[in-house]
Amino acid sequence: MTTTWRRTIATAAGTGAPASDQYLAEELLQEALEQHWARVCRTLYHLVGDWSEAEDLAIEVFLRLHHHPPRDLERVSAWLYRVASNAGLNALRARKRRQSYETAAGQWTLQQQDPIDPVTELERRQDQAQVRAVLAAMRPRQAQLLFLRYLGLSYAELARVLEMAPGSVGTMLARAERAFERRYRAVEDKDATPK
Amino acid sequence: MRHPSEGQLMTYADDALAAGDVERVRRHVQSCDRCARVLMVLTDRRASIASRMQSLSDASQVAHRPVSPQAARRRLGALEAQESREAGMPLLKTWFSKRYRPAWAALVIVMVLGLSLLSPPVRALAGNFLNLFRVQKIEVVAFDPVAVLGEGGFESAMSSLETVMDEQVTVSLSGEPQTVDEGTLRGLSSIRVRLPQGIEGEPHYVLQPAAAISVQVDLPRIQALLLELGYEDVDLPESLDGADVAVALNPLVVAAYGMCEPNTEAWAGAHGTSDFDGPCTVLMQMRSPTVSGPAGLDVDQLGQAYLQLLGMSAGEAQRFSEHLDWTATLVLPLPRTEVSYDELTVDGVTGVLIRPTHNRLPEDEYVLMWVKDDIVYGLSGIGSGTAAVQIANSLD
Repeated sequence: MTTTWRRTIATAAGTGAPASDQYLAEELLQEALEQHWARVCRTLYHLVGDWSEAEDLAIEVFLRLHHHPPRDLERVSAWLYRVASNAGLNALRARKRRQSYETAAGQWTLQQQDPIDPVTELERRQDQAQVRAVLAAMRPRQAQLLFLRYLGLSYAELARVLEMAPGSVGTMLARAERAFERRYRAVEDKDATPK
Repeated sequence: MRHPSEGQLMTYADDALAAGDVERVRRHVQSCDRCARVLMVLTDRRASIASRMQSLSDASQVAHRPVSPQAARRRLGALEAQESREAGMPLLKTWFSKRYRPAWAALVIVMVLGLSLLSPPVRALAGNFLNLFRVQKIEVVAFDPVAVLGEGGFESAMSSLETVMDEQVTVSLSGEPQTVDEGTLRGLSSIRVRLPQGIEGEPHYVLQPAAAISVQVDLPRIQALLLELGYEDVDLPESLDGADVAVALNPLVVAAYGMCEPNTEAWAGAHGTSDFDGPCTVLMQMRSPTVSGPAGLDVDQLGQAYLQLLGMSAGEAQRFSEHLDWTATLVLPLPRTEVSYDELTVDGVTGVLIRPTHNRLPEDEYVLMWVKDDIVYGLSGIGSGTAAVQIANSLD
């Protein structure tokens, strides 16, 4: 196996740059932006809950597409889902280190939007924060699978986006859901414990 | 009939089972209490999670329209222009920039890992503290940050690492960097300075005094970080917790040639930095750093853990470690998506020529590293690998 590892290194270090190192042609980038920009922004908004941050992240996703496009350009859509959900989850993980953010953001939004029922809105914000905290704490691939499933992707699409065997999607989803529920309950129990 | 797996039941519940299997699973579940219960747990859990995930959608999503694709393209163009300007920085300078500082802090840990494979007699001689590691050669382990940590995971990991390093690593400099003349360099007692012959451009010499780095290891903190990054199978030795590890960095000699001026202000607090305004050829040389750590530390296990962090399986790490002399080898991790490398003969020994993979400059930048007679050399500049080797071979 060591030999295999070394061979892999040698290949990667060779002079022949892989196809993915080539820039995506301008017209293909334009086409990708026309077709997928709004969807990528929405996907990221679901995760981070802030339009400005979602668009910043989306720009980074398309920058990556421009500089390091997938080898198979037929799979740009699947590639974008994968990279965008990863970028969003990474942003959530980084946010975990700024724990007061969610609360502050929630309060700010309440003041700005002046909702009809502030209590319901506050509860919804707390639910969102909890779901995001759990996704951020889960194993990255499980969180990604779960998020994309609930975004509406079919099993076939999940297999394509996450480059996994179609037959293993159900098993992986069952594990991811179990992990989500376990962590969610742990957070609830912690919150319910008298201080 | 054999019970369907949990995955099959999940797929059935999600109406994603192949048509031929649907009826078979349906009939089985009707006649099997156990599978019916599993299916109910799965569907209940799914309904519960679906309602929670639903909270991520809100009314503003319907009302809000992101900027147009054309506006997005303009923003993308502005960002690319900015990155292009940053890409003009010499490679070595980029590596030592703030963004990569945690990576070099990590390299300190790498050097700590070099303490591995210490034989018991030597350990006895060293008493409570070991002071054994000396770089004699450089070994490269190329890794793929995306494959190991996912898209964007490397940056995220670096950010997390920086936080941990801030708390656990202390750097003490014995003085400020200063520009010096050739005579001062030649008179140094700690190192016999070698300079290239026949190189074009006015020389600038900078001497960075010695520095000491101490690491106090907070094992639970590091383990938490690893878990956060998704590593669940990496074992670190318990004896590492609370260990004091000291790295002594010897004075660093930097000689720069060409259209550049040393920017010593930018050097403060960053031992090993090469910050010059303008493109130039830079030669660095430093006597091998030494690493001291507590006796009894299972550094071999630590070394293998490090290799696992770079994406090797436990078995691969063990086999790779068997062929590595950790006491004498600086294991240099290179992200293969950023750089490529070649091993070649330089200055009579084997060196490593490193180049950025996505170079957008008209000529290639390079970094050439080698170790000879206990001195670690680094040469960076713009040009061909052959030109780099010629400069290195001309050292007096």
